[in-house]
Amino acid sequence: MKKICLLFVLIAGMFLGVSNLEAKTNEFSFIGKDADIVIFINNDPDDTGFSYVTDLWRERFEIKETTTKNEAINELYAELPISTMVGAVYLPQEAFNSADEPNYPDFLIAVELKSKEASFIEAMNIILKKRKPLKTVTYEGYEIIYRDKQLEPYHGQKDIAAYVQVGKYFLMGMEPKDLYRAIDVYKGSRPSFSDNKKVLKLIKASSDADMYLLVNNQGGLFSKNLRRWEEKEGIRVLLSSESIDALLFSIDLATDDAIKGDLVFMPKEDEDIISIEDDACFFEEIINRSFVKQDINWVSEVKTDNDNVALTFEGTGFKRIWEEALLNKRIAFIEAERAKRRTMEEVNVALSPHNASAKFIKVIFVSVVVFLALVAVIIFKGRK
Amino acid sequence: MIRMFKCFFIFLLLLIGILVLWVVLPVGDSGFDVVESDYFLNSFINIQSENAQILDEIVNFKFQEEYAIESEVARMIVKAGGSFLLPLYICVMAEPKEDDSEDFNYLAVIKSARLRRMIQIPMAFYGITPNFREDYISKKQDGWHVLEARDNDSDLMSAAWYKDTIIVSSDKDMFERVFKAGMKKPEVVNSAPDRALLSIFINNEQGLFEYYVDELKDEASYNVFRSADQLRKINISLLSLEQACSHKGSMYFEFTAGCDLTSSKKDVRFFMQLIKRVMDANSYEFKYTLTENINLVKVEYNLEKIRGEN
Repeated sequence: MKKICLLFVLIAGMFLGVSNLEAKTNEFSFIGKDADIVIFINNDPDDTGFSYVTDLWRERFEIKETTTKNEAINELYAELPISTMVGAVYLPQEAFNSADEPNYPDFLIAVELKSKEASFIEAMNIILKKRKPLKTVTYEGYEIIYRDKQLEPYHGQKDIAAYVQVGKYFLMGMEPKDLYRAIDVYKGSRPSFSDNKKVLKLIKASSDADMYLLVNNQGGLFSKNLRRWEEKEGIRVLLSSESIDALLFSIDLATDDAIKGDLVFMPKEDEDIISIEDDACFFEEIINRSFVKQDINWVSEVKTDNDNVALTFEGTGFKRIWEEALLNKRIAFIEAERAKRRTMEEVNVALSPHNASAKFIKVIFVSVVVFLALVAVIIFKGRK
Repeated sequence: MIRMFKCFFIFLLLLIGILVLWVVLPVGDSGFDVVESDYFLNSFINIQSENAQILDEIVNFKFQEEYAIESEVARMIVKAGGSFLLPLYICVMAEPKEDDSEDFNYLAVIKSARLRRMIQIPMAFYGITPNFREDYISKKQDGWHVLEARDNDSDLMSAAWYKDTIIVSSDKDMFERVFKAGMKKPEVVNSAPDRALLSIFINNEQGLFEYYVDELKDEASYNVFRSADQLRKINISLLSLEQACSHKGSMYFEFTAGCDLTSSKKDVRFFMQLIKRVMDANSYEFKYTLTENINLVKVEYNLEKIRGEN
């Protein structure tokens, strides 16, 4: 009887433990403390500006050819949860390998699923699958579905190829190892991004935005990678990168035509503020000088607040830019593809069996094949 | 057969020896001096033998992959070739063609004794071919050997050489103007004038700088110099200091009278920031001071290598 009671208590404890873990879960629960860049997107359909841009993005796929993959992508967009989507980037230790080729960072995307999990997973399976069937691996009790990139002809691809469902969260990565790391963070065996209290202060201080990009440079990996890229390109974009602990870029698509945002720099030391201000002013000039053809009206300001340097900006006249960037280029590409296909069809018509010259080519081709076959037969007979 | 080959080999070595000797033989100064003109672009490069270090800095300079010499061998060849030609003075002038601002007429003055000798060899062979006589009229003028193209559409309309100097141009009028202004008797000039390592002069009186800024605005939707319509002249010079990889220089931006100097200063400051960032990526520290006076913005700068090669 005692044993049964003990077992019952243990099961109840485990159940409560799991429930407690799930209750505490938030968007940071899967992101490790060592993540170098974290991206947040608030998918709010009531946000006029954000909806306008995402709808344009969706239309890109609607005007594409009807293929199973495109339909799956459409399905995925339709099922995207109304919540915060989080992406994490883990930068490589070295930006370039010995052959001077770029080393790609590791990605992780975490989405909170509110409903329709089955259709979401079905769409993901269609998108992920290429020639070979998807594989499954179990890690810490979670089933990871992935595409084995080594089996594909172009296995160097850096795309999303693995996913796992952890409670109500859906995680995607480039390889299963990205998801192992996320599960370790979730289980508490690796430190979480929530431990970066100093850096997270930046988000709390920032106003509401549709998208945030938070760069964590406490370990210096971001500035190290950036430096190598800058040296390769021959121009330094951020002269004070080594003096920055964190950088937050937030953007709010206020309406379909207006945006506002901030670029906040958190200095490592107070004396770094002057060089950071220099960079902020340079960025301000870059912003003010850009999109002149599209007639964008900018208002911007650089100020130092709470020991941070902030560049705030507002701009109107973006509707045309969204349309050009997200829709028009896609339409132009499809029209070019259609024109190419029409040309191919014309070539096919020219080579159709009813065409006299095509018949002539066919006769010559068959004659050559027959001749070669006869030569082969004669040679083999001669050998015997 | 082997003996014949040996003889041929010895003859070849002898020929190369004579050619090398010919190239390194000293050549007198022509005394030609370029007088600054009001063309759109005037650029001068003056590298004396004691400034050979600058070639090392030039070949190692990086700005985007397409403008950098990636190969170590290519860098060595350019550096060795450049050092061999020292002392070297090059002046390039450019002016847009009358009806087409995308296409330029050019004039180049090159003063290098060794380069002059090297070019003399192929020119001697080319001079005896029937093609040469068909294409050019050759004549002597005050000791100078002058070539004039018979065809008006030729890329090389006029050329002249004398002692250590070669002048080439795609426009007859431009050539005549510069040639007449700069030609002096050799005995008048005692020594080479003291010039900056590099100096660039841009004349925007015809609004050509503004035209290119507008072109960039159309193509990249980016306004790199907002007050280009008020700019009259830019004068940039670079001097080498005694300390290795150390330079100083100045830049003058002259605007029209009554211009909005606040906006113009912002443009100059942005331009300086771009230079600073390009220099920093190449391990140079670029320090500048900016002063203004009515319609003139003056920048004085120091450039110093702060880090070795990565």
